[in-house]
Amino acid sequence: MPTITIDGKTMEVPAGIKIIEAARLAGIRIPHYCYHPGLSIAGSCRLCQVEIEERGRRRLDISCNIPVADGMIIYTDTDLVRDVRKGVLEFLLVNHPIDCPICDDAGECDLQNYYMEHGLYDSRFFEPKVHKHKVYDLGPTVVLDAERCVLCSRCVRFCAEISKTHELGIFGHGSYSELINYPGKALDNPYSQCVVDLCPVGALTSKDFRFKRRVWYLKTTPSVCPSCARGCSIEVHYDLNHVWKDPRARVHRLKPRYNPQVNDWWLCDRGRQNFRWVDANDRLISPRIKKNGAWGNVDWDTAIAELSSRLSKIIHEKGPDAVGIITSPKSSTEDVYVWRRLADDLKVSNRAAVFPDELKGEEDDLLRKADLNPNRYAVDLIGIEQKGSPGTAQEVLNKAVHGKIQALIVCHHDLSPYLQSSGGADALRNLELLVFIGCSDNPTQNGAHISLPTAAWVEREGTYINFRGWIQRFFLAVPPIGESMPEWKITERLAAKMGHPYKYTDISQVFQDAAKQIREMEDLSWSDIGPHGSRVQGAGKSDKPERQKSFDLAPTGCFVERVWQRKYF
Amino acid sequence: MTEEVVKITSRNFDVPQAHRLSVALERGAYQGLRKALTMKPDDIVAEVRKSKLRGHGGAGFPAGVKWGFVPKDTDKPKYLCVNADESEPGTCKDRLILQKDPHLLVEGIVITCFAIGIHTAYVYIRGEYHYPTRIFNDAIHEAREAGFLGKNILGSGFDLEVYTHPGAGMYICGEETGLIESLEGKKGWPRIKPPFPAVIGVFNCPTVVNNVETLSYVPSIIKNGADWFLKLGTPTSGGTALFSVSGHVKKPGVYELRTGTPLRTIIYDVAGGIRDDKKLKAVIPGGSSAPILTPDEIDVAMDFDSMMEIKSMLGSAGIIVIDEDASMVDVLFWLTRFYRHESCGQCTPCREGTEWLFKVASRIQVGRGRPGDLDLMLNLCDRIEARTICPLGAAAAMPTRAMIKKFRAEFEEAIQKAAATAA
Repeated sequence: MPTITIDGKTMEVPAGIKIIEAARLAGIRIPHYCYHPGLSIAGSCRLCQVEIEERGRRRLDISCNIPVADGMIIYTDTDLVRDVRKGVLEFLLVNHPIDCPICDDAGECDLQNYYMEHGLYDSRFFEPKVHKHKVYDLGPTVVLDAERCVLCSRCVRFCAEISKTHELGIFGHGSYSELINYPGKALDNPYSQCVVDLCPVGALTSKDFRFKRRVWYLKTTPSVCPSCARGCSIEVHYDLNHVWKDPRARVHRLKPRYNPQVNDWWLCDRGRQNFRWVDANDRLISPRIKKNGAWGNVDWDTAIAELSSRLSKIIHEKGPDAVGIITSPKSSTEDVYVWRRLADDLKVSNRAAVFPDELKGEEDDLLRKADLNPNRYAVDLIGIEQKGSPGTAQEVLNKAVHGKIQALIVCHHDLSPYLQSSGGADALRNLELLVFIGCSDNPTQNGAHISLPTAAWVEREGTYINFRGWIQRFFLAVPPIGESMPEWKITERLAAKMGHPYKYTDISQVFQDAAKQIREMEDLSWSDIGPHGSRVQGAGKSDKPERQKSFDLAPTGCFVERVWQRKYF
Repeated sequence: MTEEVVKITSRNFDVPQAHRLSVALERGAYQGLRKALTMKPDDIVAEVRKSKLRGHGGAGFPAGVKWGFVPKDTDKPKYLCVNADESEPGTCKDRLILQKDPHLLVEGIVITCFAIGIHTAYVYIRGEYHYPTRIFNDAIHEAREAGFLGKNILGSGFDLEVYTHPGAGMYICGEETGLIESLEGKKGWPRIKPPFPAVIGVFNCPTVVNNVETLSYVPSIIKNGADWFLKLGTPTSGGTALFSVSGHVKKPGVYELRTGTPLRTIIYDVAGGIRDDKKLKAVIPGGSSAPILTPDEIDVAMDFDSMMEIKSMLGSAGIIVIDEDASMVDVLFWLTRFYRHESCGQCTPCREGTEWLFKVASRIQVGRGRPGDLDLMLNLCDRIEARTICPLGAAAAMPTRAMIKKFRAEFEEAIQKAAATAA
């Protein structure tokens, strides 16, 4: 381990890391544009230059490219270094349109931030500016303003090195250099919006988010992407106060959160857009009971009492085998665990979670998985399904269709695709009791007798276990919509009503109970699952190389101060 | 005058048909190669190092030392890139070698490759040099037919292939890493260092990049010995140099002279003095990137170290002579225009700084200068120089700074005239 001195502070740092990373270890943030720990080194912005003294010779060099060496003395705050930063910022601003008031990136723009920190000078530039493409459509997801671009080439390197799709390039030379897509090649890949995260300025903006909210109104909560079995770490950006544009919209975007074990710095476009349903019109907002073919809103006590009495009646008359429970691999680990506990207590053996043909997503080497369920691993672990025969949901459903089951409880699933071979949605008409528990309306909900609304994943706490066995926590960002409740609470209240009081007051108790019961989870503790998650026993190793924690850089240009690091973990 | 003129590299420039192998052989071509093939490769490198042969592309880095940086125990192939992308304004020496005596360059390439253990050499020729490229290609063909290239050269068991690669018209591709990127088929953006080309160069393999003129001295050094070569020049930069003299002189041209020849001798004796016997106003001594010299400074010896002492540089030895009729405001305008156009646009200070310098210089030139413009330009030069990836930023900043400092009165006059007109 080489020993270096940064700004008078002598410390040992890991061999081979770059000065900019070593400075981060020392708590010094060196301003930079082109450097990104997940991409190759470009060294073109020249902002991260520091003074380096080696063998008595002092020189200026970029800190993102020079590896640390023993005895190196580094100065990051001398007059020369400050002049370099001022100079580079002034150069970047001479041809920049300075249209911050109408720029979507204002508030999370590194050009703004660094100028406030290191610039603050009067303009000396009186010449006409260079003009380039404005509002240029790069593809289905991203809009380019080439005049705002600082030509850091992060997006070019992302498309070349990470997505390997090579859509972007820098054309022309001198101050007429311009970022643009290759002729006839739109920026259209499954990870295209990562370039928006990477862009340190407002040159690349997301069509999905631009002009929806000023970023300084957004609040941030760490979470986990529910879109596939990868379970990427994300941040939920939401705003509850400024509702004049769209009163229903609370969640505004999902951004990747660095996690070396799962997704590094990236997130796919599909996952990024998988939040609209949270504030959509088809959310279920109240418990409902169908009487004479018409829905009627009821309160929770009534709904639980009705469900409990009808379920007890069926069990009493026809035995527990007349009841079927189909939980969901989209529910959190705790939800599935409470369902298992209740099913055990009620001695219900017709229980399942996964339909066999659900591997319908696209898969690649980077992040995306064909299995679109975020919590399949937990379902297998908890054993809600019969061991050794996963994907038994279809069997349970077939029993319901053939009249062997009189009461069926369905969580989240829309059963209609699986009923097509047996007479469509009408096939379940003969059931004595069909209960739907879920977030959003679907044909199965419509055909049910009792419908109970659950809180979406951003409206509650919980955990997901990804396909590699990494368990991660997600947190409450926005309050549950209407009267909806976390799924485990519904199950717990139902169990209490049916004579099995579990006495959970908090989700952590559910988790600790699960950890006690399930061997693989026994050394997990609710409060010890950190921002990067923990490994479930017996799980396969991460397919990502282990990285040093010090490289944990927040997504570029995010305005929101990461106070949640302290608040949540 | 005659004692300065020593014809080594230029010895065949005036010989008709010297680019044909038959004529070149009569004039002694490939004798150095025959001798080199009998020597140990390390001895050749040592000999060149001893001769103090400096790089004639502009930086003046000792060639033998550069060769020594190439790792010996590597499994990767090694490459030689010959820099024939001669684009420095005021320089036209490499073209003559390619065109008049290509076999001298081929011989230099073969000896160099033999010394370093290289089996593939690329000659990156400036795109505009169609005619020299054709002649050089013919020379490669003739040399291969005669067994000076290809497999088992002259029965020594040493193999070498030489390929030419035309550039696409960028000044920046004359910078060694820009050249390497361009040669790989990419945009000619210089690379950040480290790693240096000697370790990771073309196709990620160890690479030596040398100028055409530099390699053309190698055969004579091997033939006549390092001591002979060193004695021709100064103790720190051996041999001769090809000086391209242009501008307001009576006899512009390319002259091969001992390094260390005083600039005054070159202008007044070799090149015949100023056109129409006017007064000398300024000299750009080493291609447009070299800081300009005033008439008081021309007694300097033209070698790398003496030029460094007076804060200018020998560069590519392209001497541009400017007489009293020329306006320095115009010179600065054209100079900044060139660098603004040729900046590759990769790194911030050069991309934006050269554009800004040009805009201010052109404003002064058309009579719209503002007070404070000169200090602004000097400050911009400070903020560009030595803060960029490659030396192009410095190449734009150094001459601009020297011109404003040495001819400040003339620029101020232009700005004051503009202020008076505006009032």
